[in-house]
Amino acid sequence: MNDERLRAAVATIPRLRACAVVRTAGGGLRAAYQSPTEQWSAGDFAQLVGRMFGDASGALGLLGGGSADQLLVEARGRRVALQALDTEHVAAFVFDRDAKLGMIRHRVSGVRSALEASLAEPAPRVSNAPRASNAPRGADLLEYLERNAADTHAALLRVSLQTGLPMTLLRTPERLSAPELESVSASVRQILGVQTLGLDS
Amino acid sequence: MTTVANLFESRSMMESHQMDFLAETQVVYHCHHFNLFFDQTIDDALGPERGTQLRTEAGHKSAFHLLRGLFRDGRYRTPSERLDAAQTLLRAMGHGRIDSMTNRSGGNATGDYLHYGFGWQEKYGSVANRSHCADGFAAGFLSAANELAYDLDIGSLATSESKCIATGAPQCAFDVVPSRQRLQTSNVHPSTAEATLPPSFDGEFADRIGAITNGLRGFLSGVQGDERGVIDAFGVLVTLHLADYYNHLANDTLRIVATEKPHAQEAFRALLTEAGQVCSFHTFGGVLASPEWDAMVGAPSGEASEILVGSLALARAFGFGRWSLEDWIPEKRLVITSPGTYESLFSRLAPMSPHRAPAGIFPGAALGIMALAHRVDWANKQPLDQELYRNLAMNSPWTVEETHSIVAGDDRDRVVVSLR
Repeated sequence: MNDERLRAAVATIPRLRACAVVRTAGGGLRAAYQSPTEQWSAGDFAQLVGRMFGDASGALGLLGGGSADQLLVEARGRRVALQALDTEHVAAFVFDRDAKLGMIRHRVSGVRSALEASLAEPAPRVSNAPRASNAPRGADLLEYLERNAADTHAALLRVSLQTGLPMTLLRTPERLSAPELESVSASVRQILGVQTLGLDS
Repeated sequence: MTTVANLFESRSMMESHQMDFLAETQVVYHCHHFNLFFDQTIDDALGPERGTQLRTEAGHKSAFHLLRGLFRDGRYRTPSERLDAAQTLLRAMGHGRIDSMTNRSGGNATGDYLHYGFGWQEKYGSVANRSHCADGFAAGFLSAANELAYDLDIGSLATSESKCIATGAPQCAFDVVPSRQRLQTSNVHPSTAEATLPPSFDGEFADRIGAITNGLRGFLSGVQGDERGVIDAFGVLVTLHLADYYNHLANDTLRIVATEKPHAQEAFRALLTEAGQVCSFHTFGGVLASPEWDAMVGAPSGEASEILVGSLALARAFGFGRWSLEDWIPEKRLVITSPGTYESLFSRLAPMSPHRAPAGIFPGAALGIMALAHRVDWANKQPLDQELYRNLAMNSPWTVEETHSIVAGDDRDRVVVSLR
């Protein structure tokens, strides 16, 4: 889990202003996403979220109800949803005040599995693996795809879906590692229905 | 003797919500452009082999529900009567022709003009090659038809397509074999739809939309596949399709993507929305530009409100739901509402899961309707071809947001198209 992964998972949620993934023990910040209008300290926010979630779980424990799963806090200007992830993390979602509660629950539940999967990844995927020396650069590959694909506007989405790589990474193809580049190359060949690409030589 | 009229006697409509059922199974009209894009998205997510498997399973589950409902009244008793009825129905629905040579242990079948393979050849055959078979739906349908013909449980048979015209074969071929698949089904039934959907309502231009919808429904009631099993109308290949086929596929695929490719969920959701745009552009646009529409309503003059009204009537007549116009500011804003769609109804009824598929057709079609209304030169009969579609999609000034959903507990589905 890192900031990029979090952004990929949540950035398209309507009316979401920010999101933070926080360690429940100690309130440490694992990853944060903030829209440009949000200028507050994500680290300070994480500390408070950790404490709030711990207090809520403690209160529920007193009632015999187990730990908290999802909490909703309404305040002037904001609606905040806390969603338990694995046993060690909670995600805090900050929405506009006019976001509807039903949609908040719907969106938060929908993105939960992606966040849990990111937390389960053994290491950040932004790798320093060397680029294959004779492979076309990522930008060249994707430009080639854009020039030749039947549905140009959907081509990058199809690459993301085929490879499992986030759109944020594909939009900065110079950051693709060699294995990722190979995966993108295979996807481009498949989308274009060809065995080799004109720029493979 | 099985006739299409006999088979279509089991059609019913929930008029208040503009949803349609055949043998108590929800049905909708979709064209080959949408169907191919939708299946392509599934294959992109899962790969050709696993995508084919899931498409086949979705066809199996949804067709089993349909045919079980069809055979419930006892009119079709023997295996040959039931297989004949199933094959006649498939043809009438515009999915092509299958001939089954099977017994209760399986066997072989052939297919001609099957919608997905034939549609792929029509759309891409001259410009692309395909290496995997296209007719997962027909394969699943064959499994269900044979299981019900021989009074077997669902999952007792499995069908795979061994040859497909989309890969260059002259005819499609299938192998039906015994199986022990465990298929989980979750289907929409008219009574559960009645009990689940919120009260209906109307919006702007209600009278005009209602009148055109009624005319369209009258026209569509007479539409059925020709002797090939093809409905070639409005410039597209039309199918009467099982809503649960799309719903099973979207939900099952999202569950796998969320688990195995969590970072591709954004792309999957966006491509489902894109499929909705494909539908509105090609199907709605194709109908609006067709001679049939000209005869029924009159050719579009170029007035944007005409396109909005016509598109909403089409969505209703195709069984997508009672889509209504809440608000429209030309070029700037479009708000469409509905007391449920065929997608949200399924999601609302599906067991609680974090992997409920998002609405795709509703927001995507709304974006497409805005483009049809404001970016197509109807007065001069601008061709609605792939190049125009690409230009519209790449240069769209609009974005869409799903603000309300009955899945989230709201009393309506609502999407808002606005300037970026």
